[in-house]
Amino acid sequence: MARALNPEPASSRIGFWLIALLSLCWLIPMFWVLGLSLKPNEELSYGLGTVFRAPYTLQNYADLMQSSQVGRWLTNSIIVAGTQTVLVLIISSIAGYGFARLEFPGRRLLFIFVLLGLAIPRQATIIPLHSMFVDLGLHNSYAGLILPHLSGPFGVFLMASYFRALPRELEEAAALDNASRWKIFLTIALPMSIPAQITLAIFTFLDGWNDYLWPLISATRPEMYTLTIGLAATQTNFDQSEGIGYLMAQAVFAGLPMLILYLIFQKYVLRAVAGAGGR
Amino acid sequence: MHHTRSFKLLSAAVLLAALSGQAAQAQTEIRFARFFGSCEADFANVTDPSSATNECGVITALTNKFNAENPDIRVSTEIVEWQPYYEQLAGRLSAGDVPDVSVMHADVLGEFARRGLLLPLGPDFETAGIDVSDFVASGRENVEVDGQIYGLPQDFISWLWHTNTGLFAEADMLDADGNPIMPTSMAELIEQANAFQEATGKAYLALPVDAASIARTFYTLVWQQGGDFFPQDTRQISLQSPEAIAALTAIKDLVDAGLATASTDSSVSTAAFQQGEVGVLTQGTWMIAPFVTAAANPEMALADYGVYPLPQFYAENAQFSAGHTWVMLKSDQRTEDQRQAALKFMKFLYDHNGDWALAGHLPSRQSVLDSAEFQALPHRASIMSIPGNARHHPNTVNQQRVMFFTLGEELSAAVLGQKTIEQALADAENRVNAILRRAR
Repeated sequence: MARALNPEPASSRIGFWLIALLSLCWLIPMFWVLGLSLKPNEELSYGLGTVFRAPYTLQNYADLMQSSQVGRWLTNSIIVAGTQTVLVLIISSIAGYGFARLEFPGRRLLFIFVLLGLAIPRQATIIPLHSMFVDLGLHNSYAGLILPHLSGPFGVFLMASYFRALPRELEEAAALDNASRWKIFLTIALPMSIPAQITLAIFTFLDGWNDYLWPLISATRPEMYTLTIGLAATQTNFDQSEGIGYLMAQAVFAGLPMLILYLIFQKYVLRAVAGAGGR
Repeated sequence: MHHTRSFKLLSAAVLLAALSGQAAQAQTEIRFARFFGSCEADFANVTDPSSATNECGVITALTNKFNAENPDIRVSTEIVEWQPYYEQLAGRLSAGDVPDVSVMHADVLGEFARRGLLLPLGPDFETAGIDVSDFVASGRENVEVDGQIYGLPQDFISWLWHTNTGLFAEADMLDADGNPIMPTSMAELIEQANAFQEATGKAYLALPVDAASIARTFYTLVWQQGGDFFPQDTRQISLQSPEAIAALTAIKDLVDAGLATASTDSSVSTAAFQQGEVGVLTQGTWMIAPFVTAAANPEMALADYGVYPLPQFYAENAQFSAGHTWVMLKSDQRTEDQRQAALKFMKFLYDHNGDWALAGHLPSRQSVLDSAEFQALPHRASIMSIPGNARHHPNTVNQQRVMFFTLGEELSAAVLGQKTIEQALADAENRVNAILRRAR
C-alpha cells in the first residue's frame, strides 16, 4: 500500500544502477589484484588469463610471511602511523580551536601563515629536513619517522573550520557557569568534533601508512623499515617481470589494514562530510 | 643436597651464558647493502648456490655459505629496493650510516670514487689474494679510476637477443646449426621480420621501450655505427649525430611497421615472449636463467629457447655492457676488524664468481669465463663473444645513471609518437647536458 502511494521515481532507480555500475568499475581492479595474488607465479607466466581458473593458492602470502622481517615492518608501520595520528589529532585540535575561538593579536595573519604550508609540497622540504635530522641524530628511529608529519597544516585547517561551525550557545552557557576556556574545549567542543576527528585520523593514518619517500631515506636499516619500504625491497626483479602473484600479495597485504579501518569508521567519515555539506 | 644441586645448575647456566656472550662478542658483524630482492621463503637456509636460478637466490645462498664457513664473522644483509638505491645511499652517506660492503653499478663507481666516497682497494686485494690481473679487461676499466682499483667487478651485464627458436623453426628461419638466422643489417632485419610475421602470424620482436630498456638498445645501435656520444669531452653529450638519428629512426620504423611490439612496461614484453607471442625479445643477461626454466616447462609456450648477442646491424660489433661491482664506502665508524672481515667477504665473492654466473650474468674473471664449467652452462657459449666487444661510457662521465634514464624517457617519447625523432634527441641532449653541467 505504502509503495503504491509512494512509487520510487525512475530517476532514483537509474541513479542507483549508475552508482552500482560505477562501484563495479572501482572494484574490478581490486578483485583483479586479489585474484592475481591467489595464483601460483608459474601459472601467471603462462598468461594472466589463468586468473579465471584453478589452481589457486595462498603460497604467495605464505612466502611473504616467511620474510623474516615482515612482522617487524608491520609493527613499525603501526607504531609510526598510529603515533602520528594521535599526536596530529592533539596538535590540530588544540591549534584549530585556538584559531576558531580565541582572539589574540596576529591570529588572522598566523592562520594564513599556517595555511601557506598547504602550498608547499612535502618533497621540497626533504633535503633540509634530512640534514636537520642528521644533526639531531634522529634517523633510523621512531622519532625520526614520526616528527616530520606532525606539523601538517591540513589538520589545523580542518579542525579550525569544524570548530568555527559549531554553535556558540553551548560554550557561552558554559562560560556563564564559570567554566574555563580549557574546560569548555575539553568537555564541549572536543566531544562535538568527533566526526571531524575521525576524518582527520583516517587521513593522517593513511598518509603515515602509505608514506614512502621519507622512510626511504630516514629508515635505512632494515629493522626500522616501514611496510612500504620493506615490501618494495623484497621484490626480486627490478622490473617486476617475475613473481606477479607475489607482487600482488604484497599489495593486498599492505592495503588490507587501511581497508579494514575504513570499513569500521566509514559512517563517521560520511557523517563528517555530510555535516560539512549541510552547513 | 637439593640446594647444592641447584647451585651447581645455576653456576653452569651462568658459565654457559658468559661463554655464549664471549662467543657473540668475538663475532665481527659487517653490514652488506644490496638490492636483488629477498627470497627467504626459498633460500633462507640454503648454502648451495647451484640450486638458485636468479640473482636473489644466488647471493642469498652465497651469503649463507660465507656465514656458515666463517663463524667469527656475521654478514648482515640490508636489502634495498633497486630503483631508489642511490637516493637512499646518498641519504645514508650524509647521515654517516655507511654499510661495510655495498653493491654498486659500474656506471656510477667512477663518480663515487672521484668524490672521495670509496676506499681504494688495490693493495688490500693483493693482500687478500684477489688477483686483479684476472679481471676481464672491460671489467677492470669499470673499477679503475686514476690508476687505483676501487671495487671488485662482479659480472658483465649485457643486452641480449632472446629467441623463441621454436617459432623460428616454424618460419623456416634456422641455419644449419639450428640457430635462428641473424640479420646483418637493418634492411635484412625488416625483411626477415616480414617473412617471420607472414609465416607465423606473430610479431617478430618484442621491444621494451621503458627508459632503461630503450636506452640500452639505442646505445648498442649507435656504437655499432661507430658513433661517439662524447666527441669533445665527457661533460658534453652529442645526441644529434647521424648515428643517433639513424638508430632511433630504425627503432621507430620497426614499431611503426608493426614488426616490433613496443611496451613501456618491460614485464609485458617479457610475458609476451614467454607466452610465445613473439619471436625475439631484447632483454638483459639476468633473464637467461628464468627463460631456461620457462622453456623446460612443457606447459609454457616458450618451447625452444635460444639467446645471442644483439645482431651486428652496422660496421662494428659493439655490445652494450654494464656491470655490478662490490665496493667499500669510506666510513669513520668501521673498525679494522670489520674492514678485514669485509675484505674476506669480498674475497669469498671473488672465489665464487662462477656461482654468480648461474644468475645469467657473464663472470668478470677471465679464468672463470674460459672455464669448462661456465661454458657448459645453458646458452653461455653463444654469448661468449660479448666481453671482447663490450662497450660502455668512460667512467669519467658523471651522472651516468641519471643520464641513462633521462635519455630513455625522450627516446621512448619518440618511439611512441609523442615527439618527433629530431625533437626527442634535441631535448635529450639539452636535458643531459644540463645535468652534466650541474655535476661536480
